[in-house]
Amino acid sequence: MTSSLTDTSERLRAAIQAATRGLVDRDALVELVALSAIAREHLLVIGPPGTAKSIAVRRMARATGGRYFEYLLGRFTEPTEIFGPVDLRKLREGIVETDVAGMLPEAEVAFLDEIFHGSSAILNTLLGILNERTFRRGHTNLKCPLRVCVGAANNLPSDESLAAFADRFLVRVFLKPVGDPQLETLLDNGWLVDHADAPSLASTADMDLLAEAVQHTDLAAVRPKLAHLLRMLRRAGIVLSDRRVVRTQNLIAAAAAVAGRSAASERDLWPVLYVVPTEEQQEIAKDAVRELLRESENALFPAASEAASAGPLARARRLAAAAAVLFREMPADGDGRSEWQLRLEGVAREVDASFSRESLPAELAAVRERIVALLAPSTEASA
Amino acid sequence: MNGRFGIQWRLRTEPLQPAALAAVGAAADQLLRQVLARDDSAIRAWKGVSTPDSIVLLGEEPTLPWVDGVIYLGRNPVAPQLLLPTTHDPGVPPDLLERALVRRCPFPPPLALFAERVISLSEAGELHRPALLRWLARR
Repeated sequence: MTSSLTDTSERLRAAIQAATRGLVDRDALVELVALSAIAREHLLVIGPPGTAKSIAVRRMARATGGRYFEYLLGRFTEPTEIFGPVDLRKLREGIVETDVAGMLPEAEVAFLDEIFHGSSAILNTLLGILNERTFRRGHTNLKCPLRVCVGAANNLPSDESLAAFADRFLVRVFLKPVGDPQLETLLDNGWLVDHADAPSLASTADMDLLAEAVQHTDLAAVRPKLAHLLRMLRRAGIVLSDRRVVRTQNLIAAAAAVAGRSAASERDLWPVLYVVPTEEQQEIAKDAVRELLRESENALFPAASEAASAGPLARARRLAAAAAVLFREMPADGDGRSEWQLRLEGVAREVDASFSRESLPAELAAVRERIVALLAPSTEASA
Repeated sequence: MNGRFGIQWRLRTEPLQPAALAAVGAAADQLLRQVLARDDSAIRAWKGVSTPDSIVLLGEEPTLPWVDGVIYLGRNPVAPQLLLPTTHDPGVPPDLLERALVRRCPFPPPLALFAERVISLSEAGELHRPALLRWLARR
């Protein structure tokens, strides 16, 4: 990995951490938005209202810089509300052009809530932007800088034409409301999240550099493994469209690129799980290919890679990343120290509940040692 | 209420969700000191049982304390009457082990298995500060 790419990955890591700070159980969504942006693929997030979909995407967009467009679509939304109004000066000259200033055709990250409520006029124009990154309307024909479009809905569409549109969103994330054990954290963090913005810690140049690295990632060695994995999915009754199969390689290449690997390996296969189109099928797929994904992990996307692979390496990466954040945030004695200590104990609990001494990966063993040292004085003090 | 029980263990591919923790010897002392440092409402949120040298605490995962050396226990869905180390499976099928233990063990289920011990959790009750202090004083 070149030093500039290493620095870029580090900045992206900081940006992801800043974007997820305070959000409960939305780390994987934020990471997958970043992965999709680097792979130049689109993401569909399905979940009930009020599950922090828009805030997670907005924070990620702000943390990585670039122009952002967000809109809640309804049945009566006009195309002009998304793409811009007709340019009246040009219209006087007999030219029908769209004034796209500040609208979706200029955005690098877009979030369209209730996307399937869009009219056919909106969805047809959107198809061109999603597929070809080109906005065509009247005399307007523009190249769009769009890295990722995140569509959100409460459910997957059952209508066939909408399902075909939905197929353009390669990555699928299914959200549930925060679980019972995390309700206190949700209540504690909710206010902060509503009133805080993620600082811009990475830049569009960083995203460009990583997207460029994706183009040069060697997939030759991983293709036979990917084919084997896809066959296993088919045996479990999960058949991906040819388009999805081919485009999955973009995600695998992006996972390898951000991990600093110029050639993708089995470690980078985990994004395949997010290409599986329905929630039920994703659950079946997890079981069907669990063994094949055991070696999957990604230090930059620890939550998403772990949720996909359920592998020990991915879990170790996530825990090490969580501990690293806490090490950096260590407060001086006094205010906030006991709360910080409880959070560090939480990481230690998960480490010890997940790994026995003999199965603890070396990197995590070092992290655990540091946690033990940091918590020892306080446990003595409480004696 | 407890006995010794030696079986082979093998690593689990995916850990169980912690529902309790067990501590033996010095780790049990340390655990109890940490528990005593919490306020009474936090202490009452846990249930527990003890033997002369070990202690088992039951509670919701996010509330379970951490001390170096404790063993986290969870329920395998195929053997719900057993609390087993979250990181290991018994070397025999857990459902068969559960059936055999429940049938032959002189202590009533649920049973916690850890560090060659089998402890009945049937009488696990709310924790009380004076009882914890007495246990620690006896050590």
